[in-house]
Amino acid sequence: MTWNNANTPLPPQRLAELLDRHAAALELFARQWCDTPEDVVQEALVDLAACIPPPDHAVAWLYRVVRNKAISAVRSARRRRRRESRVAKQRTAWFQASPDQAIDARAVTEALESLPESQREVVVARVWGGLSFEQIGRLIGATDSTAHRRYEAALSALRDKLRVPCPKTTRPNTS
Amino acid sequence: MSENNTSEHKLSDDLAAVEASLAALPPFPSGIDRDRLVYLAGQAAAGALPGTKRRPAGWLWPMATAASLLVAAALGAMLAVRSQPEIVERLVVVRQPAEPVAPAPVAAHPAVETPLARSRPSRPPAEYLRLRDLVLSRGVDALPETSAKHRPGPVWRSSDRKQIERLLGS
Repeated sequence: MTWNNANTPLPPQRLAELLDRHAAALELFARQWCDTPEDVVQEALVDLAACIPPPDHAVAWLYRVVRNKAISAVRSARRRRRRESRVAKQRTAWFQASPDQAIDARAVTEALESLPESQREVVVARVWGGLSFEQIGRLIGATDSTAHRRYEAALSALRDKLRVPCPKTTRPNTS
Repeated sequence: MSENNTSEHKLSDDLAAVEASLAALPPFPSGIDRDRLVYLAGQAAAGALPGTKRRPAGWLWPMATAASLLVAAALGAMLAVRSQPEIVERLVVVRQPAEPVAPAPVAAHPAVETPLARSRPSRPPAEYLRLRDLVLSRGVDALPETSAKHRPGPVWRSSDRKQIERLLGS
């Protein structure tokens, strides 16, 4: 996740790799605040390309920039006006639904939306972004212990809302 | 995600199960246009490289416009609130210059106008010109016969005649 070649921009291959691996999770992360996550993530990736030298931890850098841009975007009056009409359409589009999933995508979306913002952003950054608690702590301006506590609280709330069964006890016997 | 947990950040089994269930749910695919992104990224990277000519800042023209409007508004306000020039009535005495002395008459007597000078036409008479054209075109024989009494002579005015008689002492 690091790129240490100073005074040269991020190579296009690396940018494409980041797009393929992290764009969906970044959009999910940005969608917590704004209704234009694609624009926000694209702007962040373009900013990353113009960043010379590139940051050491590009993914963590992207999450921080996406967070700032998403929060700024939601303050825009123009986008806020469109938000009301678009949020309803995109409410079920947070996750890619599949019939063989253990939990329902829509239920997860609603459960995440019911979480406090401080817990929800930690869950998204951790589960789908793959950031460490140290990186999440820097992202939210707190310590890694604080990030972990919020993460545990969020998972507990999600467990209660989703009633996720323990895989060891409920997994059907396939033999 | 459990492999990233340190010992102090270890999750309980039930929470780890929730975490694993969530992680199995893929986010909705991104709709970012890859080609457009690469193009924009290349453009941004080229602009960020040292030595490249940067475009003027986006705030330059708005600031110049705002400054111009401010100056125009200030000048307009100055024009509106400017006091009218004060009218000062001042009595100016202008002395009339002395009337110039009338020049003495150059000659006490009027110039004597001779009959010859008076009889000399200033320009050729029309009759003379007509006769000249007639002679030039048809010859001398074409001239009409004229008697001596009909020959034009000097025309004397009565004043001229009196003046001539006075000079002659008659």
